[in-house]
Amino acid sequence: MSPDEIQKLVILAKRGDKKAFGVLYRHYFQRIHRYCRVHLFQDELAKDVCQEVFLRAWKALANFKVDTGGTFQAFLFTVARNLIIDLSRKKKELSLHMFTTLVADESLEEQFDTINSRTELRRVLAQLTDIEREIVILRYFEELRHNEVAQIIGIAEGTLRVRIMRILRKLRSKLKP
Amino acid sequence: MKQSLAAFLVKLKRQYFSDQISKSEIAQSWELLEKRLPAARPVVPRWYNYQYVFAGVSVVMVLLVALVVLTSNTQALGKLKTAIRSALGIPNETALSPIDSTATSSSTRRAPNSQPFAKNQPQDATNSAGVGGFDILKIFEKKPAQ
Repeated sequence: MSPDEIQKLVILAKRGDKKAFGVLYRHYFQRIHRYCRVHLFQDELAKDVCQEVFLRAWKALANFKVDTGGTFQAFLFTVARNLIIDLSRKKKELSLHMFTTLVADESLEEQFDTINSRTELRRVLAQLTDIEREIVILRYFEELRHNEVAQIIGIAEGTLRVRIMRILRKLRSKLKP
Repeated sequence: MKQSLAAFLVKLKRQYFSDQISKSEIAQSWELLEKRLPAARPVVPRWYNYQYVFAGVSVVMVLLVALVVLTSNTQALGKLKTAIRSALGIPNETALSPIDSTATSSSTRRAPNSQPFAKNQPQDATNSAGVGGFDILKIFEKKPAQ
């Protein structure tokens, strides 16, 4: 779907067109779900949170400005990030620090589906700070632009570039020989 | 041989993208969500926002009042002053306006040969602003025609 098409759908959705929002939902659900899952580690919970993200996005759509450079995907990821942070504050078991806990306690692995296929991903992400993890996911996995990532995380674009350099240096040092 | 960083990130990305959700599952979840979506609020253009309209109307009203006050005649101003004074419980205007030529009270009039009031000293201790104060109502007063 081209950016123009997405913009048209967003404008329609802002006017209350649920069908247009449905098209956006089908287009972005997979990405938002992946993002939620990598933070929450549970598929079913990630699906519920993902639905909540779109519900909140629908309610906040009136405040989203199409013409100010902000993209709809950045808007969705921001809503998702805020929701995950809210959840992590409410429930400690959903904390973003879960990565660290999980790595320390290998016996918990059995609780998660297809965990073996993501063990290395989990191990690497566990070695990063919250912000660094967000940057790696959004920039290198979701392939968002620098300005979008900076907008989602709430830092300046220049700061983001510096952080990316540090993250890459950190990851390079952790590569297995 | 040490693996390259790019290859490492690609490997991680592949793990990140594992377990895709089927389209039918997404469609199903949309049907559930569609029922929960409330009716959208109408998008109100910024200029039509009631706060801005209210602020604009308030500014226009203040400007109009200021215009009326500044351009109105002395008689109307006098009435306004009287109304303000009576509302504030301040004594009659004629007793407080030594520079008003229309005032008839001789008690407040200064003799032509008397010394002028010292600078920064109140002309009348009983004026509305008190000793050493500034009488706001004097702004409205017009000097007598020469």
